[in-house]
Amino acid sequence: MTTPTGPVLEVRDLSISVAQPDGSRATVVDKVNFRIERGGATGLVGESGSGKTLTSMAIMGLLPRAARVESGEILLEGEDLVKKSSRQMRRIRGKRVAMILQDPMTALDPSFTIHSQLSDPLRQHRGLGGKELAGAVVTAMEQVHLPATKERLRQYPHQLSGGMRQRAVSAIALAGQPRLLIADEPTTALDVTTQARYLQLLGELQDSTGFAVLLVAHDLLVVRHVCQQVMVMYSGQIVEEGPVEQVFADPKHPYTRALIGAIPVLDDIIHLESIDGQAPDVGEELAGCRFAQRCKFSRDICETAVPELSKHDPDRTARCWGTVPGGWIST
Amino acid sequence: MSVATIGAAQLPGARILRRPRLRLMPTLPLIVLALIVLAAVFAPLLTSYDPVRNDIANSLYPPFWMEGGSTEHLLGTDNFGRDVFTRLVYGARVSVLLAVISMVIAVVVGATVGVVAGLRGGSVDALLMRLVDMILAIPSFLVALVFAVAVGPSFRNLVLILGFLIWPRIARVVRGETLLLKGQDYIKYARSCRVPTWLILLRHVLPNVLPVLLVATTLEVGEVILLEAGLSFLGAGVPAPQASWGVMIADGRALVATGWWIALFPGLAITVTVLSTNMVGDWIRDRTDPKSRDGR
Amino acid sequence: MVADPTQPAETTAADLISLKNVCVRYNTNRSPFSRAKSEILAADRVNLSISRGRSLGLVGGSGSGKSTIAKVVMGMVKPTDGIALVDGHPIGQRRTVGNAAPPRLVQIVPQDPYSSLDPRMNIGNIIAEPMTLGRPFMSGAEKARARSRVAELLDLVGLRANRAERYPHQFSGGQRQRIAIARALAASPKLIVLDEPTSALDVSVRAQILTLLNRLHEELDITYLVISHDLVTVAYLASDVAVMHLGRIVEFGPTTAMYRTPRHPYTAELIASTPGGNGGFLSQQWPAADLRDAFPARACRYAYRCGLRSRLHEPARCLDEDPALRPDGPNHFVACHFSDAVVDLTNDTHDGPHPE
Repeated sequence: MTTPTGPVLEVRDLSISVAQPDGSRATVVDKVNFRIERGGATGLVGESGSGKTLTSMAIMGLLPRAARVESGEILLEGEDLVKKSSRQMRRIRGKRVAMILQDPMTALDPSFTIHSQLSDPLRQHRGLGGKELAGAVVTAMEQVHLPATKERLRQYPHQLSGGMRQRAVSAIALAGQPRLLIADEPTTALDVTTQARYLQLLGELQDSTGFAVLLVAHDLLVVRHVCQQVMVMYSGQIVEEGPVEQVFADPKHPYTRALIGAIPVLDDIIHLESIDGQAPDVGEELAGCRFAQRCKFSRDICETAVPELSKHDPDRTARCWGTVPGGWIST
Repeated sequence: MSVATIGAAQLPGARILRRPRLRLMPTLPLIVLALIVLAAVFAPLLTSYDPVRNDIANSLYPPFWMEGGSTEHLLGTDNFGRDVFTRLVYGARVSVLLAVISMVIAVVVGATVGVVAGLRGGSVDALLMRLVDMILAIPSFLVALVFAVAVGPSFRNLVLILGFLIWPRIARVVRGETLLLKGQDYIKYARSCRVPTWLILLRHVLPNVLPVLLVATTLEVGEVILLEAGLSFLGAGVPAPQASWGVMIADGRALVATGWWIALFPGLAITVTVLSTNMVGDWIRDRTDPKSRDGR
Repeated sequence: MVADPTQPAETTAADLISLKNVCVRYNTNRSPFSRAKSEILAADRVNLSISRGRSLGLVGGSGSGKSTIAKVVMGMVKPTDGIALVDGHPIGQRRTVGNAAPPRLVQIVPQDPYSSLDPRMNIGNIIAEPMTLGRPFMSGAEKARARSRVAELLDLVGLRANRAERYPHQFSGGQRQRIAIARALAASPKLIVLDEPTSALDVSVRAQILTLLNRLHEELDITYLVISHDLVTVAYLASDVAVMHLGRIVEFGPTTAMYRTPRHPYTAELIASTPGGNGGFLSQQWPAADLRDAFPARACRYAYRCGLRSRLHEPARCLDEDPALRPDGPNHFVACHFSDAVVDLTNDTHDGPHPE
């Protein structure tokens, strides 16, 4: 059942737990809610351990065995993916939702040529064969600015540079014409000029093909380059959400503020704020806000009561006692 | 905790022995192996019979639960009147001792060769690995047989030939792991600090090679026991009248119809022992292999 | 003062590192039987010197040669041509472990905090390694000295001293990087090579590490050689920077001046590519090695990907002559025929995904 209008992805109250060495389970993703509109680009920003990767894995149905969805729904064009069997998920993956990971080398099978790795999804998800297939392979390569020459197609992954591999991976991911592309730190392994070009390419592909993007990253600036919406995740919870430029200009959560302050920009090199301390341990139960221990603005209420996501303006939310209208943090 | 670190809590060595809950694996095979070792060690206490002395008058008693059997000979006697249970536990001694000593030889030689070949690379590596390939290419059973026949069967010779045949398998595995380690930054760092190669070997390579070595060792133990059984079966292993499981099978072969218990119990013993060592080896590998991170 | 990289300079007493015409060639033949000679020139006539107290950054993409130079400085790679001197002594002359730079002179903080620490050693031993050199038997007094030094170092990098018995997997990426830094400091080196010190870390942790490194530089008066593809890291840590491309230095000068007014199109490209940069100054094509083959051998080696060239309507000079590194302003050197035009182009802005 596909709904032609409405969001392409809607995550409702998603909670994921992970098995601990002592046998108990710890909640690593805590009632996360968000939606991505058709053709939209949303960024999910957080440090390692924030739960962002597990969230994206849950959408793909690729959670490691130690993790499982405790509650919530993941609605891909209206269908709940959590309830799907692994066979059903196999049909959905690649065709309706696809993923690009940080390390292109592990996404590509070193024993197969680029041509065969590109043909597989085209054959499988779009049922192409023969001449049509060959044509589609060429189109897919050209779309990502990879020369579609016979030599290139016959090459193996190890013969390509990092940037080329990531482009090849992107072409493969998009071969099935998914409605949603999840990119998990796609540029972390690339050098700075390649990164810039790749992000530009991602924007181009979105414009021409119209798929939605969920960009998972730890770098706010990368997200800013590609996305219209951004969600900031901290210790398993979404702590702020809103249009990218607004969040940058006027962050409503101290963590977001600190993240922005920690970005060294070329013009302003001397001024570099660092966030002291560390995120709470996995599974650590806290009575109040999970960022309180590291927050410059925290007060008593922050340690005793968990702040809910409150609305600021029509399309912004933040999880903080201090920035609630009437709160003590001036924004 | 990122996806990758979920299983990292199972880093090799750190957690193997600290599981608070009792599980089927590896406890069951470990208990079995412990029993076998204990039986081997305390053999004289478990039975008062002499494993090699003949007592024709009492030959071919079936196991105690059968008609004609008695509890004096729990598993019956063989055609020479020797108590089967006694020979079984003394045979365990042979197998355990053999496994331990020949594996020690195989590991010492194999690990050294593997680490040296892996670290040095180049022509040294090529030479050593061709040697390994040559030995591995020889049908081991045949060689052992010929060797035993030529030099004369004895426990000592058996240990030597088995050690000789097994060390290349250990060397290969260790070399592979060493090659992986060579690329690790901490080894490159130690080199950059001018830490001498032999110290790098001792402090960095060896401890990190240990888990793989352990797995390979446990898996080869089964092989050693089987080889000994086969050789003894053919008379090229432990010399009769000494008890060993292989010898017992040889003795019982002709009497399968009339004295099936003579060959069955040692056969079972071999199966159970090898199965247990394999299970333990597999379990260690599953726990220490970082590639199987998402399983628990 | 950093000396003129256009020619091999006289080594002065103040020079900690001095590289003269250093070339490094790698043979990429896989089999000894192949007749074709395929080589990569990882470093091409590099002249560099770093004086005590100054910090130098090496910036470039993959294949630029910056990691190779770092290895030469460490004494891990022998220059095929040219001389490398550390504190006046030649290094890397022979292919043996003993010819790496002595631990008291040069140390390295490796790029990957996950593979640079032995997972089976506790961090106390890891940090003490450059001092003890892995010696298995030490006297009680030596052990005590090592232990107190380790405690001192842990404190210096902001970790609690009582954690010396713990193992690397119990620490986060940022903490592991601190451990690697503590280890680098253990032998009191004069120079520390920082190999992509923050690339493997989250943005939120980067600031912490950069701040730490800066503080250490000031407190302990250590010289840094910072290798990175990230301009910002280099800008934060180094007073001078050399931009490398395909094994050569294409621009060299004081950090702030260079970022404000780059004189080489590659530097401008790097600045524009930095997240937060204006992104406008990028040539449209993805630079592939095949493109390079279409250019004559005497052409500028950056020409195949040069955005400036296309904007200047492809001047013939770029194809006729490979520009040499020449002085261009106070203590500033650049290898480009049209360096004046570079500044104008950095004023281009880029329409991001949110055109106003």
